[in-house]
Amino acid sequence: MFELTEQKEYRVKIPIGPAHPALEEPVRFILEVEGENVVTADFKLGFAHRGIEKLAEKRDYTQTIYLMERVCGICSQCHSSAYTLGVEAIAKAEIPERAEYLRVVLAELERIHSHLLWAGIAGEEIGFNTLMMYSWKQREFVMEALERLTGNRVNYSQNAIGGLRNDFRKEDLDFTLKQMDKIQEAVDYLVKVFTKDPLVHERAVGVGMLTNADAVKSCAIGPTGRASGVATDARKDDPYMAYDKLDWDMIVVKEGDVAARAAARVLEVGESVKIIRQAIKELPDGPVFKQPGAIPAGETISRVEAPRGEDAHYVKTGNGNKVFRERPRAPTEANFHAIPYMLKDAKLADVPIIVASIDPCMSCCDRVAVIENGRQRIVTAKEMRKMK
Amino acid sequence: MNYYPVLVAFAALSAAFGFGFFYAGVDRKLFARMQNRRGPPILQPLYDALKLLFAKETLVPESASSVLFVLAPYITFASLVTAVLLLPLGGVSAFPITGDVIVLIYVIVLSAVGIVLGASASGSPFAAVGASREITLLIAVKLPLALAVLTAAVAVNSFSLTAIYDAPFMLLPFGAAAFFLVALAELGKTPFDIAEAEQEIAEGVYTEYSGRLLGLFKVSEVLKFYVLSNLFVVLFVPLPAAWGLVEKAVLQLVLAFLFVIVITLARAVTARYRIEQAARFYLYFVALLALAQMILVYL
Repeated sequence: MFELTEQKEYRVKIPIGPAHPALEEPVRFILEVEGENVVTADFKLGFAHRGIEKLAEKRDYTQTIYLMERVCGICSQCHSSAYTLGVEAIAKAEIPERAEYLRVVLAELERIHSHLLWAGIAGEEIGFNTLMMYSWKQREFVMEALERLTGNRVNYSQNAIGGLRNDFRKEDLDFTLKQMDKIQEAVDYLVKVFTKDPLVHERAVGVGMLTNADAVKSCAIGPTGRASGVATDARKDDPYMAYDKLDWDMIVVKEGDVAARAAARVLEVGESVKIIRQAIKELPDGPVFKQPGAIPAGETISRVEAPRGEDAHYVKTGNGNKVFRERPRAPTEANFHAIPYMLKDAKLADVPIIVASIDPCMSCCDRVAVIENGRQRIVTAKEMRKMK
Repeated sequence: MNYYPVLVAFAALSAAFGFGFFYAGVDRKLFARMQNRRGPPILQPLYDALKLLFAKETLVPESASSVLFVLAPYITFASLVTAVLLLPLGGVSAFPITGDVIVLIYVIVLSAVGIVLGASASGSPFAAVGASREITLLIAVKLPLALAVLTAAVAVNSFSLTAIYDAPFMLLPFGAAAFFLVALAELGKTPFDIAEAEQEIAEGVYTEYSGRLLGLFKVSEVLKFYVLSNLFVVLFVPLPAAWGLVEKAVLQLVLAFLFVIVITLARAVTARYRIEQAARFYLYFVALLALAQMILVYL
């Protein structure tokens, strides 16, 4: 009935994804485990390629704003801002000051909602269901504010080339300020949970280490990089909108483990609250939109600090009022390469929280893969030049 | 012929199924309320079990060793039904044999062995990891379980559950604490739901199970909930000896209900341990807790 064969290695291959309870989006990990220890890890992207770059070439400048919002469901404001800033730079458009401040308010509200969403997912990945329910409840305060201001909970559709489509009402801005008090409370509480709770401590401290050297080598950005001591933030390095006129600090944590990445994000929410309060208080009067002139042919790279890290858009304008080329580089694309460093010597139980700790957004960074004879192939630079 | 044991067995089983599902439902509802959620109706676990047992297709995967795969849920279910029959309700049990404490520990262990058997027979990598975790937990948890149960037996100097039930009250705080912590792992509740961690291994041991076989496992979980919560009352909580059978039974079920609420509270405020952390916790802390109680009883 049973056949006994001598086995030297007791390794089990665990496939995680493309559809798996721990993942919100399609990505595939293949882990080889010995007992609980991860021996090798490999990942494959490319399950949700949507052809957005190609679609952009068919649309005019205004239509592309709405297309760019749909790159990501969570950082939609950042993608459309990056694109809009790029086109505005090419057109040398002057943006009314009030619009710049209001763009900052929207971007920071979005950062808060993204980070609170992440805190919930992190709780879920370590089996702390109540933490997820709690932080998503707090996130609802921001969503309410966003809905009041823009009419939408996601994909706010407020950016326009030359400013904003709508001005915000005074009472809605006051409502936003009121919601910020509640968010500040949530931040104080979450800081306590991520630093003091003994079980969260056991699951987060020393887990998924990314040393400063590895972070630099793997080009980690955003909170992932800043939690390993890489002080980079597009809002400080290359100020856009009204960020240079506001007073706030860049959160940099040294430890480089999951707990550090959690701390970096939660503390950043506190900074966002600070920025929003200032921006609304110092909000200048005036129009929010100024019609730009004709958009000449040109190219530019614009950088926007999305919740997950720096979001870079390459925009090339062409003739006939059409986008010639638009290439978004979502932050996850940069952060993903840090995961193999973090997974080194990890336990299987820690894999979900380690992967989640970069706050991945797979669909934002999916590219087309070249498949030949049923196998994925890497296209060399030489071939690329030939194709051109 | 003496129909008395049959009657008692019938009463014990109906109480076990009725209150088991009630406890499980309250556990889910309370858990949801603690998280500001509305939560499912109290009878949801019963609906789920009925659906799985009678309405869903049962699939046996091709890679599974089919005899063991099908047999395992029955082993777990049968061992827990036995546990229910051994457990005194209101001071009487269906099989009041001497040494039923030992048999009870044995059948509780057997129920976990059934889960491990089924998981390792199902030929899935998730179940394989789940099985290895379940075995690790089994080794780590069953020693403190046995120690905690035996503290009560040693305290009254008898291996009979009914004798422990009727014995005058003795305060066994460490033993009770150890039993509570063991119950969390036995019931697969956070922070010790490691073998079923859905985020990592997609329900682990139960990954390949469906239909009636999964339903049997789910009913077994419910029975285990009933057995452990009532066993806690039998072993560690004083019940007034002068009361009648029915009053004592009702009081026992109510006290067990309080035990369920504390378990729900514990799982609402904790994250999940890793397996090696849990094993260390049980072998170094809980086992010592139970052992300390044992020594105190001797002194």
